[in-house]
Amino acid sequence: MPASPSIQAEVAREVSGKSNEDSAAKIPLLLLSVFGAAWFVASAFLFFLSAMKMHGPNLGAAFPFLSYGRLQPAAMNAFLYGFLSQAGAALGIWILARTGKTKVALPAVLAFGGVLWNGTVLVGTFGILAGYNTGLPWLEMPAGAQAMLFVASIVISVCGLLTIASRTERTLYPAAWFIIGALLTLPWMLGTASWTLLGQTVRGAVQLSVNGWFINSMTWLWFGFLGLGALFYIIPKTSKTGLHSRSSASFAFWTLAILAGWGGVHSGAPLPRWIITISESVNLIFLVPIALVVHNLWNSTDGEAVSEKESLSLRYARFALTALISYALLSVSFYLRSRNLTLQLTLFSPGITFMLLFGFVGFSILAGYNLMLPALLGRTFSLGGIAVSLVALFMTSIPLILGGLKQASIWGDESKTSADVVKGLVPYMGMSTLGFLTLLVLSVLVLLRIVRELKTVVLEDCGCATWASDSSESKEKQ
Amino acid sequence: MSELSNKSAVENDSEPKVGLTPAPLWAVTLLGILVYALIVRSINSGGDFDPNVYGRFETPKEVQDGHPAVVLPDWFVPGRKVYGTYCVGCHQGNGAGAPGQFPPLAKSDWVNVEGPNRMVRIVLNGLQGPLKVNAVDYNNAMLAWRDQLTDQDIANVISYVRNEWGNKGSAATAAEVKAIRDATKDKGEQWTEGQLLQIPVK
Repeated sequence: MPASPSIQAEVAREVSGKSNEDSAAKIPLLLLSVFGAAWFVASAFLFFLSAMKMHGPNLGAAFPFLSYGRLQPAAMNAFLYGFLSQAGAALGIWILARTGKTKVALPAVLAFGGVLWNGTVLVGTFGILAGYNTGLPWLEMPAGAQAMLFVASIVISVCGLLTIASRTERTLYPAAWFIIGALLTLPWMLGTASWTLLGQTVRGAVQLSVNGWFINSMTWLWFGFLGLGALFYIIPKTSKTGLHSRSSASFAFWTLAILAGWGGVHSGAPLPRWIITISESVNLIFLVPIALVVHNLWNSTDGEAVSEKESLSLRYARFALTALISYALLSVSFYLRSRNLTLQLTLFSPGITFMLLFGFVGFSILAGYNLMLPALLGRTFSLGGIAVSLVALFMTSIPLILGGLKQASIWGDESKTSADVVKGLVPYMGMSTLGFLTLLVLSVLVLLRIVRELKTVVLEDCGCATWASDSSESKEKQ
Repeated sequence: MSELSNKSAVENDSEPKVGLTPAPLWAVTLLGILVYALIVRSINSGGDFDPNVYGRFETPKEVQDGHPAVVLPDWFVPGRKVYGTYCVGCHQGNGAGAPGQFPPLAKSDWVNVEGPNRMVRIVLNGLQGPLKVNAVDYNNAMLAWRDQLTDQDIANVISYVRNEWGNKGSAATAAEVKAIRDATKDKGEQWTEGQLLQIPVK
């Protein structure tokens, strides 16, 4: 995937302006980034396997770890905590250092936090595959792994927060608000949910309420804020016009921060009516900050220095914004009571969730990788793959969304049987399986590109590249 | 990896700038309207914030109408208490008695009769000797509770027994018990089956 001349020029400017924060943070941020990309491959592979199980339930039937009930949560946890969280944290801390014009604080501790995080996700994912699933969505890893994840989140968050505390640029850039918000709330959310749900201090229907709060809070306050932090940095930077409106960003930040934990409960959930009513209303109110974010960032892309066509990061970022607004509109229709009662147990929900997580957060991270990794490695390159990314996004989420609508319509027909529902979903599941295969291809391409650039830098640093080129030249002379 | 000083880092002007355009008025207005709508909607269809209002119900009244409360007769709770204190040891919690030792009360042909006349007498003075219940023979003795239980206690426990475990019978009143207590005040011994069968059930 060669970089276009414009991208190379842009990255060259980035590399030449490389400041000390890149140098100090190189190892821990690279560690988090590379392992994040590796988890992207692992999660895509697990997603693909779990999608295959929808077509061939007997595939690997002799091996319990290949059952759908284990593969799907393992894939989701690897995607959420292995890829999105880790890559997002690396990108977020890098942005904090850049906008604060400072070094990353405690890089050795951050590297330790990264190793701890990776080890925990590895143990947790194997735990799920081995059958130690807690049964709580997004908290499926065994309780011990969740506890370690909480500790690792504190280590990483503290490093990020100390980084911004040591900034030389006193005025916080809006991207930093979102990242600080994400780092402050991650340990709180993980700790509270693990303690109450896995420590079994709440029982019965309250578990559902706490789990709903955890998923919605993690969606917006962690993944959402990391994605928004990345976009609020990448778009104004690559478009060269700067951010359109600070007060608009502030308004959106506080609205999201205050309301994030209030939504996300399904209309059919066995919870008191007032919780569901408020949740439905908050999901509608969410449209306002999201519209503000899109309006603000869209107005920030009117720069003259780098056009949309020329900047890969900007293109990724624009697609991320599109995915965000698409999710917002679809989720409002999903959470309306009349629709939700028929859609809540269909493929519609995983479809829009994947659109948000991969289309918005994942694309934001890939946009950030195209800026951060060249700067960290001191080389001009781009990850490319935007066409594959778009195909992966459309082929995973859209068939699930359409399949969910179809599923609901068949279920609503009293003359149809469960077998009719399954038959009706086959083409949608087939498309989605191909989508996960594309996602796997994309993740492998991204990882290989990063590893190749990393290998080149390592060889250059140790002088091996010179030795290798010398020896090849001497061979040619002979 | 060259280390740059903080000074040079500060001078690095490659970071994006921030515009000071105010937040659009439409967003503030829309947010205000939606928050107001949220409050109104929560008040109108939030189940009055009652933790017992679930799912399709909108108000506590709807829940109440949909789930009419079971009204227990006055004698039920005190009668169950007396039974649990004095009777349960022999007749068991489920009223099944003990095979060969203590006759059952559940679906008993001595309990499911038109009136409580005989039952009141048994509780007041006790019972001894052979007894046939539901075509099964027993031969044991039951204590007299005349001095331990009040008229109201006896009325409650008999009413309870006559309407529990599938039994169906009229309730006893304290006045009925008092009348029988007065009429049998001179009976110094326990009843026998033969004597009881001479007494009308009602």
